[in-house]
Amino acid sequence: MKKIFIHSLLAGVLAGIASLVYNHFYCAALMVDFSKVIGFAAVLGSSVFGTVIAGLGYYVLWRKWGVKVDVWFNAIFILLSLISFMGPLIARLPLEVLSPELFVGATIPMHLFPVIFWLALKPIFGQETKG
Amino acid sequence: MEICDIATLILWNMKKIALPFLIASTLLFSAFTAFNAAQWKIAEDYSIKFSSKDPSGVFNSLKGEIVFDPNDLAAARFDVVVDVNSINTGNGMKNKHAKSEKWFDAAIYPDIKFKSNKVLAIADAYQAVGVLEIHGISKEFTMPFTFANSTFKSSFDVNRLDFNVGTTEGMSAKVPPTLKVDVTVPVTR
Repeated sequence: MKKIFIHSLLAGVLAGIASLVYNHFYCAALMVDFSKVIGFAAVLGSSVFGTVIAGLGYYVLWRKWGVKVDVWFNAIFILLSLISFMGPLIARLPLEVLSPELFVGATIPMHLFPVIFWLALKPIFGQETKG
Repeated sequence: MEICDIATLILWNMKKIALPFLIASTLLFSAFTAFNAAQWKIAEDYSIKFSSKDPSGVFNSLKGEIVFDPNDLAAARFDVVVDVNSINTGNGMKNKHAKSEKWFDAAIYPDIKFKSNKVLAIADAYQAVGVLEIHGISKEFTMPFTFANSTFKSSFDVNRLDFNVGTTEGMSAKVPPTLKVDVTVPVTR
């Protein structure tokens, strides 16, 4: 359980940092400002929250499916990440935020960073062996 | 006739010409000042909001000419233009959709225009009666408004179907035909 938690926490922090870096360059390149909607705390917090929840899910599924968990968990995590694209697509930003059409480009890649970092760190943490 | 006599004559004649000229100039200048007193510039912090069950949003660009003096409504005039491309619903896809040919068709009809023909006083408020042009369709329109603290405020409903903006079929049916519009326009001299 401890290994899963550290894995998910680290993946979340790295995803948050990657999202902040991406957001910085995206906004600078396109001269937009979404800081009212996706600030530092929101980006980092939601990344960590997402991966910690994923870690809990992984733990529950591991208890149920044992060694087969990775196959199913990876598929579910990727699927949920893709479904989460709907969030930015239907989001209604405050009216004082200009160029909302560029919001999708700013946020959709961020929705992939948690699963990317989860998968990237998986070989380091390996399979859970005890509950 | 000596030179000093000629100079006196010229000065006397100049006085005769100058006095009417001075009076006429003063009158003209006064009239011009009176005209300017009724003319207003649109300040930057205006807002044009539209609302319905869905969508709601703003137009961020307003230009035009406002001539208004509560004591001289006969001379009052509103000739304003809203840039359709400045629409913001808070959602990028909706903005793009709103500008598309299915709705405002901003490429062909980039402006929403209102030009008043007359302004009437109704109790404590006013009504600007004129022509509203949206999506290339002009309709007579009465815009109620108030004017206080150098700010014009107006709330009215617009039926988008009157101007062929969208339809009542398919996904368009989800957008109510009538949208409420709230306009606040601070003005300066």
